Amino acid sequence: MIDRLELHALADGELEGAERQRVSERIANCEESAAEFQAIMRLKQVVAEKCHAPSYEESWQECRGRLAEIDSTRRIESFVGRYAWALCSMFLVFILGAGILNRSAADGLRAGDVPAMMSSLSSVGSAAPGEAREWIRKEGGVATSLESVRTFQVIDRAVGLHEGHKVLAVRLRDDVGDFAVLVVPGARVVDGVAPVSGRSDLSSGTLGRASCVTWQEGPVALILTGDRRVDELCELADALRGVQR
Amino acid sequence: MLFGRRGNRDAFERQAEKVFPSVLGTALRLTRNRDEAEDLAQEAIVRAYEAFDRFDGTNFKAWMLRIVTNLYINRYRQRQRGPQMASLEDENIIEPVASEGEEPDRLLFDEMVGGEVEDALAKVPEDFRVAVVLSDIEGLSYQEIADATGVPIGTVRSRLARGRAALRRALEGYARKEGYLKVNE
Repeated sequence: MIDRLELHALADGELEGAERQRVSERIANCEESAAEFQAIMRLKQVVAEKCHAPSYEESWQECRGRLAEIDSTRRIESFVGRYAWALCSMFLVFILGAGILNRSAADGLRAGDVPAMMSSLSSVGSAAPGEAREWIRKEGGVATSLESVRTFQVIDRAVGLHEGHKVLAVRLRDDVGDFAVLVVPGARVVDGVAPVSGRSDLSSGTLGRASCVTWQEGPVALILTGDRRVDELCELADALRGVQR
Repeated sequence: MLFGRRGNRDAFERQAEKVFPSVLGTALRLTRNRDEAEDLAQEAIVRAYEAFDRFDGTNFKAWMLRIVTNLYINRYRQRQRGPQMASLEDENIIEPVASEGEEPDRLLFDEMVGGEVEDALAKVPEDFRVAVVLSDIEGLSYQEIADATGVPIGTVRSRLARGRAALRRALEGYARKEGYLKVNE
């Protein structure tokens, strides 16, 4: 009996030349080897004939879908990879540009400027609430209810210029403590404040320990600041504006 | 470059579609589970597409079957069934494929239908079954099977011979159970 591995190799077409010749001759002269070789060939034949490919169309379509997804992802990654520097640069330029435009707006004020604004003013002395209200109306061009809703005491009034804006300030006192209202004609607060929750007319921000609430009366920006909670400042703002809530 | 990639996919799909029945069939005969086979075949297609620029251009079918076999060996077999079931200790003992007489062979092979052959094949120990599937169903050479399974050619020869002998025994057992062969044949 010939080495069975050689019979399998011959059946599989893996033998060539002299080796193939040698094994073929041995098969021709050995019944047992010939029977084994024939059995191997029959088995190979039956497996090849009776084992068919399964249905595959649906699975192939799913494969094609996955390949399309891969291509799509690659395209996006390629684009982002190639132009990432440009996208980042554009984004940075956009942010810087927006910031510069925001800050250089002719009528723009920043809440953070309030301390510097107040330190640049010159006192014009105290006054009765009614007199202070008239002063604001005349100098600032805006009407307030300074004397009508709550008992305020006017501690001081001041006026001056800040970055080209005329600024009026009235320091007031009530039974809780001091606070101040700044009136800036021809300006609006554009930075450092955010809308007060539930209020479309008021915005608020913080100035160190103090808070501020701002609002707009036509072309005039008003800033109310004091060491109080925002909701308390909102109440004071409503009182100054004569708004009933 | 985008057009180049699109062309690349078209070229890949053209070749892959031709061999996909073999890929899915091999996956099915390895996993013996339709859902797992589809997952395995699709994963193999994706892997092949991602590595298509490294394909040497010689035998796409052998390359695909190498990927699906490797993927199965590295992932599915370890996860699902643990170590191989076939004993490799007696690798030098090669049993005959032939039976005692001529008649049983004819009865056996003539009466069997495809599903029965597939069932018998599924009973062959896994490493041997892989070799038989790649050789007798997919027509790969010993070298290609060695490349696909990561074993030397000598081991491929041994596994094929032992796999065929095991398949023959499984077919006989099936035939006796179904009455194609009488017990004393």
